[in-house]
Amino acid sequence: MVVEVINGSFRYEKNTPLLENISFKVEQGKVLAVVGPNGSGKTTLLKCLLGILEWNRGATHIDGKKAYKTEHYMEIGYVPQAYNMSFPYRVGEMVLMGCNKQLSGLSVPSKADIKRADDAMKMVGIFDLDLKDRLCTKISGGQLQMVFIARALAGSPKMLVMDEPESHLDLKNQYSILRMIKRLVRENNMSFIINTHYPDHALRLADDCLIIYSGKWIHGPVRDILTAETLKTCFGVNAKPIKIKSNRGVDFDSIVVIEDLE
Amino acid sequence: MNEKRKYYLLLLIILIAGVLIGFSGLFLGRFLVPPKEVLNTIADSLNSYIFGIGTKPEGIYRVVVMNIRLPRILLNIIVGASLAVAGTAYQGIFCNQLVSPDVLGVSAGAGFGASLGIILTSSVGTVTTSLALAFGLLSVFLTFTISKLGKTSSPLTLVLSGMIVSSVFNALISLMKFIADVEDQLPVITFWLLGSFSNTTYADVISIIVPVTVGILVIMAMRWKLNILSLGDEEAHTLGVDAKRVRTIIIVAATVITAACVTVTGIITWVGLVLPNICRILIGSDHRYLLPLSCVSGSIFMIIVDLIARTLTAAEIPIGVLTALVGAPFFAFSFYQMERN
Repeated sequence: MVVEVINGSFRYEKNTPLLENISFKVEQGKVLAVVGPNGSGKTTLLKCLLGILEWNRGATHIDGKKAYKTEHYMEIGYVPQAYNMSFPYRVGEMVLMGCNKQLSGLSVPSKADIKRADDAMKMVGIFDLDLKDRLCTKISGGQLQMVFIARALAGSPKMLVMDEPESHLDLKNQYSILRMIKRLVRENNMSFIINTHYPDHALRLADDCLIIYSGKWIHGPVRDILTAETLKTCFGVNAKPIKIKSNRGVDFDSIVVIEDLE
Repeated sequence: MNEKRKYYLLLLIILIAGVLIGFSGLFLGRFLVPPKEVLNTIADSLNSYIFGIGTKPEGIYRVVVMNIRLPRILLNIIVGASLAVAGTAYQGIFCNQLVSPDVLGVSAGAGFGASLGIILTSSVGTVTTSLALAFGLLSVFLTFTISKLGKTSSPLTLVLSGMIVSSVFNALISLMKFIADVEDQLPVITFWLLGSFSNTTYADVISIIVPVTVGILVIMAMRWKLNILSLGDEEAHTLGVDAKRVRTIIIVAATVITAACVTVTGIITWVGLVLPNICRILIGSDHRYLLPLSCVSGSIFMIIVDLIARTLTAAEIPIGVLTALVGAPFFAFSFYQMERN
């Protein structure tokens, strides 16, 4: 599946345009990271891409066809930011809701759907935690994020769109999410579009990067885009990409902020 | 699986309790009918009407049991189930456990429509029912629109918008009473507005049964979609549900139910708010289980409350007084629970 945004522009009512003539493409099995300062329009971009908000101009194309109806987004799963739920659903019920895309008309989930929801929980590693009958309001932030990912996976998507999946999480949970994304790309050939506040995560996960800042945008391969100059222009901080070794001795790229606090 | 078993057990217990309480309702009332006579009347009626044998029961006992108490209990069942289902549906689609037909202004809107109908036709007929439905729909539309005017939206915004719309329609109802003909229209409006099951006839039961059954069936059929919709429009869209379309269908169904009930019994408050919340505490938020449970517990609640209303004192206590006495503390409790979550 190829997801492409062509000349997408969006503004909230009479405000100045937030997104202008944005174009990018994500192919199957690839990861696009969207970075940018607060209020730059990252979440708005995802909402427009998914059809939650309507582009003022331009469009989202899925496999070459313009997407404009709820049904057109069937193969894209969405993982929202953790939020306050109106009703305290149980974890099992919440994940099962991800199967809704496979249900026709007014049918309710069958045993096969329940199995698919269980499989999704196994994929993200929460099946064995015995969370199924726990209330979503009574589990930790990290677990809730996993529940949302499992819910999106229960719909058997080819792409996941994630809005800051690792924010509000402690370091350990952040890295389990990052590892899981890597694994889903490697083992299931899934594609991802991920909003993140961490350029470091973008560099380590993504193939391509889209930086949005003050109504402008830059898109390209992640290593070409996340440079010391763009980070300075976009975030106003001094940072630079470096090469270091992991605990297992593997070389990898990272980004360090080189601002002192004086 | 455990939860499912709990659900079926609860449903069974409530159904059995409902049948027992409903049945005992035939024996209780201000007019004393000896239990043996009640049983005789029931047996004779069953024999003559259903099996076509024996003689039709006659006399005062028959009138009391079969023509006064039975239709009243039937109407209790229908109205209780209806208001609880409508309340559950409204709470689900608006993602808000503090709303109900009365909180959203639907009852007041339908009430105004019905009083307008009484003024225009001097009776409670098709025109009155249609006006009740039209103004019920208008009020829910107004409440929803007003709640969206502000920049931020919280559960309380919808409640406050409902309050605004309710006050307007309540004022309009008072205006209708003011201009109503004192001889024949005013008594009809005033009596009907009290919210009461007294003087229930089979005609009331028949007039309400079709719209209410259709409405409840539509909402029941949408029980799974209601789960998805209760996550909010954005998530519903990403889970493949056209939120606007499904919400419109459910609003129309819930409003038809409410308007039909208002036309027959007047405005009965609190039931649509309290019952869904009690059931949510018992079984959880999944509408596949919540809706049927609300439906049966709404019925049994209404039978019990009406039984108290007609037997506790010499004069009948208005049903609204009793539902409010139970409902108001519970409203505070649900609000506290919501804040805690």
